[in-house]
Amino acid sequence: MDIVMPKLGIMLKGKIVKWLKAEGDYVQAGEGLFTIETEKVTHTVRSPVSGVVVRILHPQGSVVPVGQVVAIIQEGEAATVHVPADEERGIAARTVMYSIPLEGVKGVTAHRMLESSRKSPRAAVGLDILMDEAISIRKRMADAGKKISLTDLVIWAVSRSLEANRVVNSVALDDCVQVFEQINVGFAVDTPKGLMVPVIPEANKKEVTEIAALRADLTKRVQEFSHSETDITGGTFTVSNLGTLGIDRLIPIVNPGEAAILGVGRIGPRAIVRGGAVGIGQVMEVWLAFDHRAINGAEAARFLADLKNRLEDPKEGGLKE
Amino acid sequence: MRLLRVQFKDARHNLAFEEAMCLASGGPTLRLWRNPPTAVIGYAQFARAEVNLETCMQYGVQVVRRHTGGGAVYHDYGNLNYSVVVPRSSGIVKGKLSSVYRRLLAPVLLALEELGVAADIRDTNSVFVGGTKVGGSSAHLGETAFFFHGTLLLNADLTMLWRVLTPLKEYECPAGSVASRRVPVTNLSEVIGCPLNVPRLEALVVRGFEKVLCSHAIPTEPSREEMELEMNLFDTKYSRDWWNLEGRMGRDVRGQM
Repeated sequence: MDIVMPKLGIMLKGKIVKWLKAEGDYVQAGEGLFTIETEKVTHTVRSPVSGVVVRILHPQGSVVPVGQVVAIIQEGEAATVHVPADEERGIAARTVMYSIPLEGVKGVTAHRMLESSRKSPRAAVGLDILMDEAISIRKRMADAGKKISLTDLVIWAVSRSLEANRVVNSVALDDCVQVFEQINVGFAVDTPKGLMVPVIPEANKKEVTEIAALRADLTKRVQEFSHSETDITGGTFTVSNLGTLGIDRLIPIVNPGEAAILGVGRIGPRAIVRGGAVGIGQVMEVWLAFDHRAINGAEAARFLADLKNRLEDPKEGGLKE
Repeated sequence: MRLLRVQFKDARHNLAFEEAMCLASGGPTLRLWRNPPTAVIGYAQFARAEVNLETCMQYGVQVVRRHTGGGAVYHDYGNLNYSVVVPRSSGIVKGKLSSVYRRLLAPVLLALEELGVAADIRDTNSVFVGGTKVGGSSAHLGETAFFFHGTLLLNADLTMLWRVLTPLKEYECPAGSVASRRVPVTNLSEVIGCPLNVPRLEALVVRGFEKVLCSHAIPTEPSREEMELEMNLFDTKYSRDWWNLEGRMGRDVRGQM
């Protein structure tokens, strides 16, 4: 539905002094949408319908003639409204697949967690992953001319594990957890200008070789600072690998707008127990840091267990060489 | 028409009550009130670009955002503030906004005329005597009511006014916010050249509004609804820095206004 600049008295145009909702926000019928000011008279324009604000056509501060469309609202319930992707600009779509109301135990947990840490309450879970099989697959693929890195393999596995554990691919807002439909995996890159997080859109729909190609390209672009805004927009989950810098384990800070981040440590030989005997295995330690409002410990643990299984036996986990 | 003399010692309560009046279903109302030393900024203003916050802190001047538009003003006990609520259906608030202001400022001009001061309206909604401003006004169009309020400088501390309303140079008014217009101001006591008979001016302002709104002003206590709304608005908004100083805009607003 088109929202137009209303007429106050016989005014011809109004200045939008505040947007009370942003694009992507849900607005209820009768709730304030924006405030206009004209000749020192303020007036809050309320939404005539319930739905999601899909487009704001005039930013704060614009003077808009009466009758002109200022915003578009897609009518519907909060949980079912689909926000179309901005294909023209090529931003990886990041739309809400479903919302989980923060009610009952989850609501109580959310509020307690928030109260205890004042901001988003963080927690982390970690485990060791045996990488012997992944390393040999990687070698086999390299021999066949398909070069992938272990980070590519981790991103591939993460995207599949997110698909199986949807709640990890989300963000906690004040009153709900929004679970995203797309799985857009960001990966932290140390660039001369600082930490950048380019995004692989819908990594779960890409094979590991595609992920490798895209990641190499994105890394190069952010390193050279020749990337576009779209390359670093729309992430729903982040992987931070400091293993290449020799770090055994890291518990990163969750990116704002996301609910979890995976810290990947170095792969190295460790003593492991196999069939009652001590042997040597190539082990990688991973930690999932998460916003406890969105994800519970058990959910985080299930995600990590899924990731471990996939990386310890990538073929079984669905990897196509 | 109800006549309220509700006045708090804390300016934030006074401004919260203004919005409460506008939201409550109290019918046509006139409120006369005063504020302690306060910089009152307009709804869409950027506090730092309008007010010298350091000076305010130094002199104990409060900074409070109002829910109506326009620029920053300075209040102290040397100001007289008046507020009016009329239903949106009332004929007095129909037509051009400049005409609405003219009709609602007429009682003030009438009162000043009685005191022998020839005042006129300039810049749509300011009261001028000669070339000098003695009062301003602004408004809010609510769901059911039109809310209008204004202030008159009787014998305010003008040195403090300029100290407070001279922001530090480095703070520029950001795009999208409303900048104040800085014009010469004076006190009515200066204009008259003798101490002002304030109770008489108040009585004249009341009489002026009675005439223009064709309604007798009956002194009343605020309604329970108004007091509850005031308390709620104070707790959630007017006692908060995000409202008074930041007036948070954009993405992080999350419908808080």
